[in-house]
Amino acid sequence: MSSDSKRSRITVHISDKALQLIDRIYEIYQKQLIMVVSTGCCESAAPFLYADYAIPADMQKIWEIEQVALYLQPHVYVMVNENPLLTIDLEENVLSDSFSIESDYGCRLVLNM
Amino acid sequence: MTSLVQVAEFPLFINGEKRAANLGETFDIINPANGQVVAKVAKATKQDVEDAVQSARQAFDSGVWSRKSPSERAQILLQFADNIVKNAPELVFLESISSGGTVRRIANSDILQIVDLLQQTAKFAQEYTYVESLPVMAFPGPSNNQVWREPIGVVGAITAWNFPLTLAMWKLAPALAMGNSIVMKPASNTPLSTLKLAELAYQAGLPAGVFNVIAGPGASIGEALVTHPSVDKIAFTGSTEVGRRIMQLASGTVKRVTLELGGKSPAIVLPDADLEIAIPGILFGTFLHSGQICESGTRVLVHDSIYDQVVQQLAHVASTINLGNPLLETTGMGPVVSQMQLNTVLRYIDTGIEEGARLVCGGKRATGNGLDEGYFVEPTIFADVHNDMRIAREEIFGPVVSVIRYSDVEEAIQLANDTIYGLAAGVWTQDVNKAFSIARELKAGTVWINDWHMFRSDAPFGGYKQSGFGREIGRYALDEYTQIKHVHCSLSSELSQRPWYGILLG
Repeated sequence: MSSDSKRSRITVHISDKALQLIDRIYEIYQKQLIMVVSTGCCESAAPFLYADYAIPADMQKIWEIEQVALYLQPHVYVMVNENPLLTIDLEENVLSDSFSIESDYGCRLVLNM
Repeated sequence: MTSLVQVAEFPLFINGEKRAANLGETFDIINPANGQVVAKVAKATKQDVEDAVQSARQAFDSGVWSRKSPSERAQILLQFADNIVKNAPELVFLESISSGGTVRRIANSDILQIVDLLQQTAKFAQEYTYVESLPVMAFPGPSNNQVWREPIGVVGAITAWNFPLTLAMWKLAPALAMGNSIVMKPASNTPLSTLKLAELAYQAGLPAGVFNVIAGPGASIGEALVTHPSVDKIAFTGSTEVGRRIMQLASGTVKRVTLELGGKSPAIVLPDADLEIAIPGILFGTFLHSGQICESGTRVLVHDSIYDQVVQQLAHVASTINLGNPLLETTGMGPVVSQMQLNTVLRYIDTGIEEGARLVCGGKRATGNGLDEGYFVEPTIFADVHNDMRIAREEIFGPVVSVIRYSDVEEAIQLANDTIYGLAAGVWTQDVNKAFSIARELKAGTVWINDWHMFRSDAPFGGYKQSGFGREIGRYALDEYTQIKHVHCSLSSELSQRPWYGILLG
């Protein structure tokens, strides 16, 4: 599945299995989820999925569907603008200590750009 | 021929005893050197978190540890250190088979460091100023004024998978020394050594409930700990985004937080650097533990005049690193921690090539010679990297280094600081005065001059910028695990000596 961003020229592809899991989580929370692409230590650049998140003023929303809105950290936005195709996939059967919701399902969202 | 691998089971450690998880579930620990299951660990639920926190809370409130004198606590911590020494072979083994760390490193460095840290912290805790008397002022007064340092209460500690023993002890030593109770959640890839530490602490005389360990993957366990109203402080080592999330969650109950997060540390190599030391030093700073260290020097900034020579020598010496089974004493570099981390690192290598960086060493998954089933990556060096490339901006957490060219020191400093991170930095030069002047300009919590990975039990460690805040190790860490109380005792025995009441009462 792909979608043209409403706010930028970045194109986001999200794999079917990632979307299926997001759908499942959406049904539980009954509200639009928030996905943040951020970078860090053990995770490297990765999407993080939350039900509630205090969105900083400088974070950019670059894509959304009913189930989820995708935000980028400012420094990630700069990098993505040079490579305007974001692919979000799901790795299954992994141990993850991320605070991202899908880690409770033995999965981890991953990012290719 | 098949070989039977005995898989040990590791329960949680709550309230001084080993126990299965509430729902009886377990999860597997995989040896990254060969992809085999080596242990099963109890998978904690929110109920287990609740039980651990309540144990810690009751232990703290009872005073059984928090009201001991500093010297009494120090004695037990010293016994804990002795227990670690006596059980070092088992701890080294557990750490290596889960994290992929080499026994050469864990036995000769990590174990020594955590024992020394515990011993030094016990000493610092006895020297600490717990009560400070303020000068007596004539007015308003007279009064006796003291400033007390008290333990915070229950600490929730969440540690990463790269250095489980070390990261556990960085939090455990000061937390316990200052009288706190602690609930620790080690990373799910590597909980074995932390669970063993809890046993050893209890055997040393630590009262039940003071040190608890819960294990389990997933957001719910971590969130349950961070948001629990009976937890007073969170100490976290891990990714910047998770640190950000913890800050948000902790704000609900206004918890104290210390965060040790990611880095993309620069190593500035000046033209006069002694390359005979700098070349192995740079590689040590980058490839130790397969680059899975938050403060690794993963951006090497090299002056124009020596750039080609440095790149060539780095590639040459890197090719001599002995990749292999981390349980062998001959192995210098082991695997990365998991299949997922392997995939991540290889993706970044592809990204570096796509971005136009020049691959001069490594770049592939390492196979053959018994490595096929493990998660091994060749030591990888990219040259001709620009600081705005993804491989230069994002933390890869694998054996990948970017070598960036600069023309003058001002440019080097600007490049070094051009990152959201500020965990560590380094300078390689024979001009120590120049090194110190550069150190002053670097926005990082640690600066190494002509070395890397140098930690000591009396020197603080922590980040600037989005590498976190708060300090671990040494006397500086003790403050992070206490809170301050001003106690004012009026010595005025007559109402007439209190004219300030007239502000209200006329």
